[in-house]
Amino acid sequence: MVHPYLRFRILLARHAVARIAARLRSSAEIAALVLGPAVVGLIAFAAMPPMLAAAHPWQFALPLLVLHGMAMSLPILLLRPSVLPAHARPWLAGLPVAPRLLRQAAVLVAALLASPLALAYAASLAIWIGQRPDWISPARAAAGTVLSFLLTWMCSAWLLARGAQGARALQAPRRPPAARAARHASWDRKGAAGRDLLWHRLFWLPLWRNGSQAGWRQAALLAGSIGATGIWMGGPAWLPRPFGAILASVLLALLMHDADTIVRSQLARLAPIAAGWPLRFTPLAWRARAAAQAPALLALAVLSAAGAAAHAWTGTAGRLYLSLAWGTLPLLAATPPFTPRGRVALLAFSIMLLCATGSTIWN
Amino acid sequence: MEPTSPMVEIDDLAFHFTTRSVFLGLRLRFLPGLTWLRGSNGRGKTTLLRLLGGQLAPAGGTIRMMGLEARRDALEWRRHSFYCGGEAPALEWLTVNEWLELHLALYEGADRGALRGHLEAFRIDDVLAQPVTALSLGQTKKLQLSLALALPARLLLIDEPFNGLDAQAVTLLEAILQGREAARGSCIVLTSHLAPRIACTHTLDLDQQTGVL
Repeated sequence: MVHPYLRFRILLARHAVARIAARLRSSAEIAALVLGPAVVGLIAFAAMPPMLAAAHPWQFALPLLVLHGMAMSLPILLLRPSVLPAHARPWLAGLPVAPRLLRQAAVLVAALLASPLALAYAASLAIWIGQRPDWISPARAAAGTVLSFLLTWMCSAWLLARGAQGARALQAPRRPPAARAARHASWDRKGAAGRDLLWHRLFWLPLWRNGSQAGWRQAALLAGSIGATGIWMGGPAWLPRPFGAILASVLLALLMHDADTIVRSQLARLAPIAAGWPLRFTPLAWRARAAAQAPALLALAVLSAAGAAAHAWTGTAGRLYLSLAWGTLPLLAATPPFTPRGRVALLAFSIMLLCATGSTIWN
Repeated sequence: MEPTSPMVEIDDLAFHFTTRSVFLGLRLRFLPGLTWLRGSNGRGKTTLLRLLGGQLAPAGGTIRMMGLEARRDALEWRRHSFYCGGEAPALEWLTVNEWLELHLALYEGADRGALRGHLEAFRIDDVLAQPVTALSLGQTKKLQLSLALALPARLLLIDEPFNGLDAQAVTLLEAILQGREAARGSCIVLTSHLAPRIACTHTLDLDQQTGVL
């Protein structure tokens, strides 16, 4: 009979998978339309790295397979907060669970999470063994893929077990906290108040605190967008211009969409709290939404300046692209959220328009 | 204002949650001083305080205070009323310092000296750099009370004020409330399942009110 703790941990993992699946399902047809060919390609090539590694002599193949197996387990770090949710961790920490049971739970949950990868490997292996290119040896390719998958599974289980152990030791900082300026009362001064303070406390700080990754994600998207713009406009020989256009367009649209999503969800969170405050919430909300698009405005300014320097906006396609890029911002930020599906459709439409126009500028 | 004339008047109040109605045709009067609002679990004590604090909007009826009407003059109403709940602070990303700064920015005219005094008297002036989520139940309650008692609110609504407080804090709060009761300068409504040890201006029992469903 399965131990109730194992059943509970599997249930938690299944809930996490179901939540992710529900999120994907809400926009599945749009994603299929835009990303369908890319996903099919990814599945077909899923087992390519271990198959290629296995085609080498074993002394080279083994380290490559080990590295690949370990690397493929890293996405579990992103999934771990979902399968070990923060609200359940303090409760889990108090349970009298033996280490062996913890390891068993980790292995089972890792199997559940890695099963889609196993299916992708199986499909990819079948396709390539069926094609039988010269370099492939079916037995070695299958053995290499299985070995890589087993390593991924075990590493995933190890990462999950470490997460569960972390939950068991919540109350265990080893050193006393650094001395704080505990009696420094920054509120005890007049004059600091104002709209900037409200925006800072209510919209800026939540981006960075309590484990939020929103601030870092925005920073990464901004850096990526500016970097991709630089590469696109610089036109290096190793990257065809359309690829630069696609990369810059996708990152720019994602930057705008992400900023708007963050500020909308924060507004939804604050609305019931602010209902009791002596504050006109609507003007504050509009200011917050405008401020949230500051990174996108910076990226657009860089795009405009870099494009002008590279003479990208001289032709019809260039001018159309620039108009579309500046038009995407109010389109994404000012339209109502509709439904999650409608939002994804709007984003996908914007990306497709930008990519299609941008990739023709230097034609 | 006559000490016996009502400060807050509720007429024909209606309020419904999506699954049940709480009030229909409720009529209440609150005098200056201290009111003990009592009633069995689920009768709507907290809901009534939230309605009085402007956090919830009534489905019907009026709530008036000294020329202000809660729905019509919503912003001005919230400047003069404050709901001090028992739950953990909702802005969990802030430190105590930042939480206080935010509220002082929202409520102009707050008495910073009084706030400092309350924080010291409640012995929580050493937690200012901590996140609000790191406070214990009692510390959270003390923080909210320190702020509430420093605001220039004409209508102060305190939900279960003694929950989680240590003996020293209970005595201190009783003394502060007793002083406010004697001054009769504002209307303080508190809910408590146990009878407060201080004399209240009057007691309202929601179990006995018509209009409470």
